Amino acid sequence: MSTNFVEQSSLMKLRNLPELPPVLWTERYFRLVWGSVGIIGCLLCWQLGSSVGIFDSLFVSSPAEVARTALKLLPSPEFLAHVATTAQCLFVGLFSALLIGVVVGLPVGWFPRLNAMFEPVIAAIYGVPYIAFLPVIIMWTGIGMTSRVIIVFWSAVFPLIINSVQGAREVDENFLRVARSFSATKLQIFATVALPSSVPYILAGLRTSIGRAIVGVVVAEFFMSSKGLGYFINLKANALEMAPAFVAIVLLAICGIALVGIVTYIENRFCNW
Amino acid sequence: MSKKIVARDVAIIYRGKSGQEAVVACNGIDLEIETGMFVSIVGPSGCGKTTLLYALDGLLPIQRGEICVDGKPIGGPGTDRAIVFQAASLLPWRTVWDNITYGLKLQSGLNESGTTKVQNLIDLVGLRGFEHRHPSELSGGMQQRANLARALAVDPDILLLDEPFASVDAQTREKLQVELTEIWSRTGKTMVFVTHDIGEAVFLSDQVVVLSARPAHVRAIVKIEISRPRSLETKHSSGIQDYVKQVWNLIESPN
Repeated sequence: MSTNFVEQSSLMKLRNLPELPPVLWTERYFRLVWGSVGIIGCLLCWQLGSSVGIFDSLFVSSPAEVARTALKLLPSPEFLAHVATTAQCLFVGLFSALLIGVVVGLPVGWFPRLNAMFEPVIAAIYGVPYIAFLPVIIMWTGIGMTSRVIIVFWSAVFPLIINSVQGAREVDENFLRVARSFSATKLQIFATVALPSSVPYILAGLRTSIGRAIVGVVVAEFFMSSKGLGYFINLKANALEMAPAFVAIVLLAICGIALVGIVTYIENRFCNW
Repeated sequence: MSKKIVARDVAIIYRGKSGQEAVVACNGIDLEIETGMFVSIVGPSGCGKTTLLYALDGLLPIQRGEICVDGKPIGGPGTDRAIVFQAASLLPWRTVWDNITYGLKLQSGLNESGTTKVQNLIDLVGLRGFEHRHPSELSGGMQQRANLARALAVDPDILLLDEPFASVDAQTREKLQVELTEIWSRTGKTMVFVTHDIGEAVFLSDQVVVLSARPAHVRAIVKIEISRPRSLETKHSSGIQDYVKQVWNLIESPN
């Protein structure tokens, strides 16, 4: 009898379920909405400042002028040649940094003897700001694409080495034990446990390396190039042509955001554990 | 009945965390486990049960004595033994299917008949439909089921279990205990089960091995003479409770 009473009243409660209020689109895309507000706000301040005269538009330009200049510059073959030079240097340097960083870093993290031997060396070299190596590199390989690629490589490789070392070192002991319990060989343990376990670390290192590589290519082009976006910015800024310089700067920023975005996408797609 | 596992005068010593002191985990373990038996190992906390289990699997070296399986001393992990660890330790980047077939692929590879066997195993542990999920999408109980399936997939003669149900909620634990006895009676494998839960040990086993405090030796072996199959009702019956009291007294009483 008493059971029926309880069942009845729960049924009634089910029927009178209150409805949740609908979700506003501003809530669902919260970060997108407010992020856009932030960026547009800054652009408006910039534009206002230049138009009204708070900023000297000779030095600072304005979003409107930058946009106009961009429309003229982007289709032009000379500008695209600069873009191509920078892109080539950046990608060759980044790619070789990724390859060598992982190939060097993983064994140094995995084998205790290699670790003891090389970790202090790596830490010491990493401590030196890579710009200090510029004059040395100019002496070794002159001024040209090779030197610039070396600079980009040098600036990008260390976070990758260090993160690969960490990834191989911090493999969960439980997983290693599981592999051993199934009589896995050392190589199998490395391939099936250490390597997949290190991928998130490597991707995190890649994020840092992308930023450093872009700085590297721009700095290299300031000092040792007659082509490329870095050279272009230097040239135009020295001639007080700020608008073209800003076009190049914005382009570099977009490049950095896009590359990091790709890494984030790969992380979410493959490392969601 | 032949002796499947024989441990004779086994001592296990390892270096402590600081690297200086030697920790004697086990000193003079004598154990004989017959083929097809279900044996539990219990004892006070920290007495070396897990250490002994790892040594039986060949994951840890022993400093004295010998451990023989089928009459031959073991020199490391082998394909005739598999261990179910306390933490589920499924590889998080692999799907449930890839995890369960992990050991199998490492050892003998996966062919058509193997695939069917694994699918039957997945049904046996109740994970059908979850083959393509990742471990992070499974509950603790389901992860342990996958853990168990992974060990069974290599078809070992001996299954070693290290408190596999310790980190699972009480209701799931009781279900898993019943499932484990069913798997045992169906496959006839020799099983060695380490646990802190005396009731669990008595419910599951033919024999309960009681270890002393560290350095551990075998204090007593209690033969559980309750008929099989044992259901959950039997678990809460007085027969089991008497054995539990007996084992408790053996653990608690001073030397």
